[in-house]
Amino acid sequence: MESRTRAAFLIAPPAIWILVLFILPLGIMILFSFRAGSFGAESSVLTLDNYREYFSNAAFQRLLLQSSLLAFETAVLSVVLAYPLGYFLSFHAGPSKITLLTLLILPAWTSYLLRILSWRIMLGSNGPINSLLEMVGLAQADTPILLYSRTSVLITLVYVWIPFATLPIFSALERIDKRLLEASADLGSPGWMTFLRITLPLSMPGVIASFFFVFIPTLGEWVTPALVGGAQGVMYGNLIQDQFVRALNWPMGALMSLVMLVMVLVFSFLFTRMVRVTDISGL
Amino acid sequence: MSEFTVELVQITKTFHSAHGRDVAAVVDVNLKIKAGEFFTLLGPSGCGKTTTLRLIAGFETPTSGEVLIHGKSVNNTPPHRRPVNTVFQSYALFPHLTVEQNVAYGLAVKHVPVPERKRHTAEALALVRLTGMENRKPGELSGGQQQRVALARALINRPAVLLLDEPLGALDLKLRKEMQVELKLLQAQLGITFIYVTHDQEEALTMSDRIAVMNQGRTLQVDTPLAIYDQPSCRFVADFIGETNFLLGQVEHVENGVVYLKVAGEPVTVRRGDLQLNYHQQVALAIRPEKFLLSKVREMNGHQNGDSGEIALSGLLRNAVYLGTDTRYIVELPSGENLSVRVQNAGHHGPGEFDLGEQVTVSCEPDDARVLTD
Amino acid sequence: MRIRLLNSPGFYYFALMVLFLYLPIFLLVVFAFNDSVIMSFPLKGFTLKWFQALPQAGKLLESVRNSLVVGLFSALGATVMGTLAAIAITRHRIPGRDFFLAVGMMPLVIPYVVLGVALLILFHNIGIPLSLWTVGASHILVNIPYVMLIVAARLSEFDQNLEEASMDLGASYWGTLLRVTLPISAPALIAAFLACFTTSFDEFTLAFFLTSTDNTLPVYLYSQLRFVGRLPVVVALSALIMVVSILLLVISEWLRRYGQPKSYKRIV
Repeated sequence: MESRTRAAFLIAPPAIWILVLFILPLGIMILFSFRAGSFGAESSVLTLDNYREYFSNAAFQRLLLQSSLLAFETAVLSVVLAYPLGYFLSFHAGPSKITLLTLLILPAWTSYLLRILSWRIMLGSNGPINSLLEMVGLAQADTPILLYSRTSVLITLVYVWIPFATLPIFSALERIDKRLLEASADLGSPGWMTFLRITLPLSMPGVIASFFFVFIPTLGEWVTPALVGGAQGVMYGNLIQDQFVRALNWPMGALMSLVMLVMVLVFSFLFTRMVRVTDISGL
Repeated sequence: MSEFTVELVQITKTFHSAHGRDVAAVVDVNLKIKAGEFFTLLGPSGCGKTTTLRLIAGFETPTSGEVLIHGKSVNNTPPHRRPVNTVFQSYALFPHLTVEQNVAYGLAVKHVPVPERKRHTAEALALVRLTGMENRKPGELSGGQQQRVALARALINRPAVLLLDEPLGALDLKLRKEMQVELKLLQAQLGITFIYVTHDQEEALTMSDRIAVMNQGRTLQVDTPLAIYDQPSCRFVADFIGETNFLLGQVEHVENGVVYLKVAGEPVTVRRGDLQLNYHQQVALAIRPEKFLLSKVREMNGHQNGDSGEIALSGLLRNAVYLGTDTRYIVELPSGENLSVRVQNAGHHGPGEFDLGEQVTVSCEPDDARVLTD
Repeated sequence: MRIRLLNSPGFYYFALMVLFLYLPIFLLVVFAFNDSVIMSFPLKGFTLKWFQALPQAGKLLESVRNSLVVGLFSALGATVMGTLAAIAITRHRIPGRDFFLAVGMMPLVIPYVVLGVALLILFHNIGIPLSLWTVGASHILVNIPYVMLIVAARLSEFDQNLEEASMDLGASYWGTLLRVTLPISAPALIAAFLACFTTSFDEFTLAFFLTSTDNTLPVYLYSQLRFVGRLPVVVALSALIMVVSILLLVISEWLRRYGQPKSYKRIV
């Protein structure tokens, strides 16, 4: 049996799985967005009504824009907060760096839902933060200052993302040949200048990766807004979810998802133009 | 049934790289290897010797040509069905198995019953003098021991041909010399055909029955060590094996088996050999440093006499290096060429024999000089 | 070395961040022992009653069982498929390799809401009823890239001569996979399996879209959030699960390190 045939046998199961459960559904979703109705007789009619409705609704566009902005802020904040962590681990942690990194990552791998729930409790009107503020006199009972707002969504999201954001940055910093920094110092450059001129630029692929790694999935975020966002913190993802759970307007939901998908593809493509996979993963 | 154990017939192997550039690793190679022979593929890195070995083992398929084992074409036979075994340069011992399991691997695959397996394994380990190491893991062994496990693992299967890919490369000098002797004895004892790959010409010369010198995918000369050393067929072989002086010469006249040259301004007569030579053709005269005699300058009385006269050239002594067993001299000829001369330090010969800057005469027998056209 | 560690300003920032990250988890554990339905300060008293109520919480435990089953099967499926893909990519030259890699890695970044919607529509159109199977299938899909990365890293590290040696000694290609390739990659495979299991166990969005009456734990939790009185038991269970997950992950990380003796620079 030739190498090619063997390779075909090996790649077939995963390739088929991805084809059937990834490519195919996305394709059908595109088709579905043209349907007149979710079920029954209406569903076999194809129409552009959904598109018209969607693109004429200013509220939809606004929400999409706001959600993107929130995702952007989340990504920027996460990266900015994560960079010093990665730097510390790579340059100052010495032999304990892997242990400390693992320590940092562990919470991120425990239940996502439970941690958001925990934040809801923490920020809530009966929660510890509010109770503490109450005791000091900065808040009143039953009116949580921090909960159910755009800010609470931002805080919670950044909290969730910081460990993940640290990884690509750490990886990139590890990859820098430390002798370059020695050379820079040898040539007379003080620590901060070496950082700005050498370390930071060389770690850029990791920073960019970290940014997109947070930004793209957050575009479709809906669970956090649902739990801690309230009316002010609604995101585009909630809108989509609503079409399927409450409004039962599947074609519209499909269209909304499609718009999101296109955005994701555009940003993913942008990302591949900016960074090569080999810069960050070692594959 | 062919008299040759392994034959390569017009083998060419081209690799297609991802950038569209093809690399011709092996070109038009023809080899006939006899049973029980210690056959070496010798050449610099990238000459194609390892690829040739892998073609015999079956890890590569030829782009064109045939590989025959015992007279039968094995082009379509996968490696696990060929009666050959390989000792890899990196040893490739299975890290997750013990020494015993490594050695017995070939038998385990053939489902040989355990008691028989144990017996053969004990024999194989005794053969390479590693009895008692059965339960160690490869990571616990020294380089030399790993090498011997790799040998035992291959030999236990009683292959018709054993392929060895630079097996001694990772060992230190002393160990390497010891292993060379051991391998040679082992081969003689077992009578298996060994096909050996190395870039170390000294190793090749000491161990082989025959050597194939390769460069850039082609075989340049296939012969016994003596013939390769004394009668190199081309400039590359002469240069690669040992040390050689190359003098520029011009063909003046060709007669039956004899050619008259002008070398360094002096007339020289040597055997022609099989070469086709034209008048005024530029050739190289190859002479090994140890073939020269060095003496105080003497008068050149006319030419050499026919084809029994010695070749004699005069020049300035530029350098003398004491090497313990010999002294190495550099003599500059009037033509500007430098000759390397080696004289054994025996009798009255020694480093103090000559003064630097002195005029000396370098001489040798005409049969020690070879005419080479490339 | 320790002193130098403490002296760097980065350390205090790091320590602060770690505290910040563990705070919600810590709080959950504290409230799991709090004798009060309302989670606020001051604490009311120590109690084990929420934990004691666990065995009676039928639906809750059922959802845990469902999550375990889905987790195990999807981890198995993803590990098998991801390993096949990793072997194909690292050991063979396939036309369309880069394309497969690009597409195969996409589930890592795509928002699960889009994927959930797409799969929901698919199953509805084809006529496959929603169940734990559909949830499991989606989990396998999103975990394949993780497995590929982990296993491919291991495969590209070890000496390819080993597989050639095995075939040289008489083992067929598939025999070599079984006797040499897979055993040597075992630590990576196990680490990948554990990572898949944990991801699946905690996964919410896809489970939400693709489940019906049988819930996984996260989906069940979500449905119980409006019942304030039931919250403490939920919290008790969560605390328990968190501790177990952390343990599992420590093992997984230790195994991955044990299996990669060279550098640790490949962190995914």
